[in-house]
Amino acid sequence: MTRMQVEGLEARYGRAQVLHGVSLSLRGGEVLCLMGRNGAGKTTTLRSVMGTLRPTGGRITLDGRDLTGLPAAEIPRAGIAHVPQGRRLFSDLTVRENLALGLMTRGADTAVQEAALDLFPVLRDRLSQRAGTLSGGEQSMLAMARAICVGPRVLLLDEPTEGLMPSAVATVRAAIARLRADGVAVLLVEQRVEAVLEVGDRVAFMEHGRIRADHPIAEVRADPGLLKRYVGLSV
Amino acid sequence: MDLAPYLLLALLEGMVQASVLMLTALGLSLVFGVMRVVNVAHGQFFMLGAVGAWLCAQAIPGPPAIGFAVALIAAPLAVGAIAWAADRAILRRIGYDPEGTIVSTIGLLYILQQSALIGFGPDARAVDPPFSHTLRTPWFGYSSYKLFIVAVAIALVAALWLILRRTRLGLIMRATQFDRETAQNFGIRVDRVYSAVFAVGAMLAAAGGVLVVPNQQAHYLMGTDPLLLSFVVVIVGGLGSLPGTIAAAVLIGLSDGLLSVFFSPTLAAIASTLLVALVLIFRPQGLFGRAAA
Repeated sequence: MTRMQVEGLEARYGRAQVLHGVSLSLRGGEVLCLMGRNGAGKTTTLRSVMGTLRPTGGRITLDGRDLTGLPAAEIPRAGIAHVPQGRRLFSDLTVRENLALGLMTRGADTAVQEAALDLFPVLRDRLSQRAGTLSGGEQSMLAMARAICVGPRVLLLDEPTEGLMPSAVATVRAAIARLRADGVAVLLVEQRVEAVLEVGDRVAFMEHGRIRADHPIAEVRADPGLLKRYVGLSV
Repeated sequence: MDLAPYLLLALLEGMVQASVLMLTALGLSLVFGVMRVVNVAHGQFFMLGAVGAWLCAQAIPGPPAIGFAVALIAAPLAVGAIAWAADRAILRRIGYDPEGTIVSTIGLLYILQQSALIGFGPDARAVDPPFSHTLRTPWFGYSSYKLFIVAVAIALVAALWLILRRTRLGLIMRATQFDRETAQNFGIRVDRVYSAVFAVGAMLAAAGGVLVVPNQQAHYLMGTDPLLLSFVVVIVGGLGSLPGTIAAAVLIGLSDGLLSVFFSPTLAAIASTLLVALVLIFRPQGLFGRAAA
């Protein structure tokens, strides 16, 4: 079974250190939610794992393979896909072209694209449409479908439901549940408590670039004080 | 005075100029669009193409068409290899820093120009056209080679368009142009894309140099004017916009031809400069560019 291990991850923006030894462990078929206030280092953690922000310390392994220090383009080829904050679609390209870039990453076949489109059927009618002309919900679905086309063993999701209508939120959550059932390990940065409680298996709370606590979802449900303490939210 | 022959001649000359300009400016625009590099050395790749055509003409015996055909393939490939090496040796090492690339391509300009002076000499050298058939019109004869220039330029631009729109390489280039970081998230080796784009941009300029040399001779200083005109085209068309670059090259090439025939080449140069000034004042993103958000 897939296992991603992050140990003592450190990262900087210029001279400012923003991650101070972040450690996480994630198994296939598990959804680990990363929660914390703005500026806690959640997005930076994902970017550091992807190599688009070069870590200054620590170690990242996937099924025992050391990914630390690999060029950013090698990380997705190893099986880690990323849906970044704000979706970052190639908005001048069509939906089909965006998905093709996902398929190219690890040489996945069109069956993978079909599976992704089964999760987001609305995209089937939009294949020739430019991504920038899709609605917000459709863009989020495309960002997820594009990442699924990579054929990932680990999927990093950075607030995939931000700013979406409830119907689109439900579609995205259903897709996450399906990925978990298919054995994909999901690291989910999420601000919506109800989403975390619905799809998460564990919650890691971040504060000032450090993991402060890591609890099974049942404990988070049972102790609302955890959310209040680390995120300032009530259930 | 019957205007028709003058108008036809002006349009033909304008089309020839627009064709060469289109190739050179497309190379510059492609490099800026994908890499965000203002390549001040771009005109030198044009010059190297022309010098390469002369070398091929000297080295290959027989009818001029053979040497020219070889030059049309070999010179752009050789210049592309030089550009690829320059990217890896210089631009990649400075991380494609915008200011640093301007300074380093100025340095590259002098290295290439002075190398050509040392190896090729200070004299302008003629290359015979591959064929010298004259097309007759009711008013004047016109070199069929000049129309060949237009045809080859259109074919090369069409090929570039097809590569960008219909191939995996083109998709990768467009994705990299749009968002370098996200492109890496899909396994795209951005550094390799940049090397390829820099080489393709140089090859387009070199092809322009090969095509133009039977008309205006090869010379080690011939890269300056194409560079300046390419900047004019790229600014008017919109930085990084390939359709804009094509449209602006046609606009400036034709206006240059018309003004040169009916008035003077100096007025044509003034008009181009004025057009750039007007575009920068009233539409700084260029005719086809997008305004910054």
